[in-house]
Amino acid sequence: MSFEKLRRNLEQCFRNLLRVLGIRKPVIADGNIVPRTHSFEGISQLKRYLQALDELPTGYYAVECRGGREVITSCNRSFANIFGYHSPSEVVGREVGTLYSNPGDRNSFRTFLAKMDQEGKGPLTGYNIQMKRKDGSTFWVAIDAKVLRDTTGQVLGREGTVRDITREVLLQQQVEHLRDDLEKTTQDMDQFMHRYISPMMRLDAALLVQEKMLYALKPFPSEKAEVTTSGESWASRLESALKATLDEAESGNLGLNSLRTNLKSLYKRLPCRRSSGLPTVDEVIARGVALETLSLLNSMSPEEKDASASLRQLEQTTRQILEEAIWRSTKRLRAETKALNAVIESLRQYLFYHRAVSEYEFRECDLGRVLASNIEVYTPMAEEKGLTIQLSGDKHLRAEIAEPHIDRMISNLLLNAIKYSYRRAGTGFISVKTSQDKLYAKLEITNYGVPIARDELETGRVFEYGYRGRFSRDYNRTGSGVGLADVKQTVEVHGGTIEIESRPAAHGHKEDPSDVPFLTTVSIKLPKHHSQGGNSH
Amino acid sequence: MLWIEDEADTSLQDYVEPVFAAGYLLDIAVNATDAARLLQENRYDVVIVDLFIHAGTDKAWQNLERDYAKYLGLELLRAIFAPGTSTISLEIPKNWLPTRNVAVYTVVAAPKVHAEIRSLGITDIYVKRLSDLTVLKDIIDAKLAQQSG
Repeated sequence: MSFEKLRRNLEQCFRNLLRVLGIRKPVIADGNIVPRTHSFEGISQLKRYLQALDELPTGYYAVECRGGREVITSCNRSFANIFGYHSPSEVVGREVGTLYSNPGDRNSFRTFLAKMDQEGKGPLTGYNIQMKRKDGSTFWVAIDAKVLRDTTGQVLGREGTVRDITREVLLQQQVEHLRDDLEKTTQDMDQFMHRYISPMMRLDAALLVQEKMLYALKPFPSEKAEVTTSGESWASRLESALKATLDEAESGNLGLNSLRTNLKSLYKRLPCRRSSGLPTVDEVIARGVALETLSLLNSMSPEEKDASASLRQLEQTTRQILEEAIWRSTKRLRAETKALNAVIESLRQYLFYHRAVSEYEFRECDLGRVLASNIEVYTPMAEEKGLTIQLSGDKHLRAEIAEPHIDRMISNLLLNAIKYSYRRAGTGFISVKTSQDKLYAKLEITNYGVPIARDELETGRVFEYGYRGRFSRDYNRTGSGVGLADVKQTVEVHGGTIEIESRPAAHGHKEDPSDVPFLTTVSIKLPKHHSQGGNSH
Repeated sequence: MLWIEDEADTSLQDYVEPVFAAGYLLDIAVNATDAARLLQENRYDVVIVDLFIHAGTDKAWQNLERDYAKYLGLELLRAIFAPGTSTISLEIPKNWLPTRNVAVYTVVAAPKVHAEIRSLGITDIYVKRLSDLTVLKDIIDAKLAQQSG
């Protein structure tokens, strides 16, 4: 561009600016455009305005309509830089259409601007549009624009400002993508849960049905059977041995001596257990010995019939023991099912709904009932480790709770207590204490075993999602690191508090977690009325 | 009573027995086609709907399932209670099935979905968990108590 042309463009720019500033009929004096009525001070002030305009961080531009073309007649440095040019001189004189990324966008913009102008709605502000830089790369700007008209109302052009909003637009797009991804993942998770929950519910239902049948058909005696820890395999071996003995006895192939020998062998495997109305094995053997003494082997004597009946009674006794073994494994399986479901639910709660308080539906419930139900489910699991769950305190605690979430919270706490307790032979315990006052229901669960390091408690790390305490991995204890995070979330949504204390169990020992077992107590306080709590739903 | 649930005759069949034992007459629809047919043929005191159901044999439902709809149970509810918003057309008279007779029993816990269900006028939404065998019967009892109360 020639200097003369540049000068003319600059003059036009100044005239426009002066018009905007309300200064009429400027003249050129010594290379400076000055208003007729202004002095030297006016020139300085004008220069300052022009300098400020040029140094604005926002891009300024003016476009003039010339013979069907729209030409950029002036702009400031920022405008040039935004479009990737070094100086306004590279931009002024270009057709504005070359700056648009999509030609159609230009028409849409012009149409929209004209409509705003005709409707008298004032300058157009914040119109987002994609543009093109000098190097061809695209980016987003927000345009402010005002239509310029002459005194007859003829459109001369437009002017305004532009601002680079590429970063905001990209962020917005990322947010939308993430939102779409989240929604899709949520739906996928829902589908997984739909496919997962039905077989879990079926398994749980089957276990409940089996349990009810066992209770209905064979009531258990009051004494506890001394069942071995390998109850199932022992029971199946015993059943096979008993069946073989009975088959041989019924076929007449088994002499009384052999019968006695077999019975003694079975006796060794059978725990000493007496059910009401049924003979003990000792009594059965005694009858066999009595038969031998009477030497009535080859006829169907009443004693022989009696021995056969005794064997059937023995079979019934054995079946009771078998059923108890099955019942125990049923209970165990039910506890495992509930534990697995708690992990999945905890994971889902955290990943997708940890801010969605509206999922919690608060109703008045008996917290004591929920607690008792969980203790009943997890007792077999505890007993396998030689632990008993001791419940004490108030049996009924009425409070407004979101029951499924509290059920899962208690499930997670009991599972942790069992998992991190040291295995003990019949003397270990998990203590569960309840209490209440007018405003709060309180729950304390204490176990004896794996310590939690003090720094992990003080910093709250134990409540971090996915975090497992550094002492938790001994003896290859597995865990998801989800349980406590979910418990804390549930407590907080209820407006309650949770505290954990872990101290050496042996009095006088230093707090060296590697030395002694620790007593760990989780204390939870829940408001009885939901509106008391900090979270609303 | 009508239970619209794809696992009603398989994994969840054990939950049906207490309903029968209580003396209720329970129909089961395992897909959207059967559900639509039963709803148009019968009046029910209680309808329990799962959101994740399959289309069944009807082409219109199959197209929906193929195209986009994940929750065909929700689409069914839209077709009944907000007909203008659904592409499925059901010939159900206006007061044939009041919203208070309907409960949703589903694994979906998304607040957005629950909000849409509530906007249709259905307030009872139960999320599937490991439950006692009487859970279905309990839902029916609760709905009947609501209606008589």
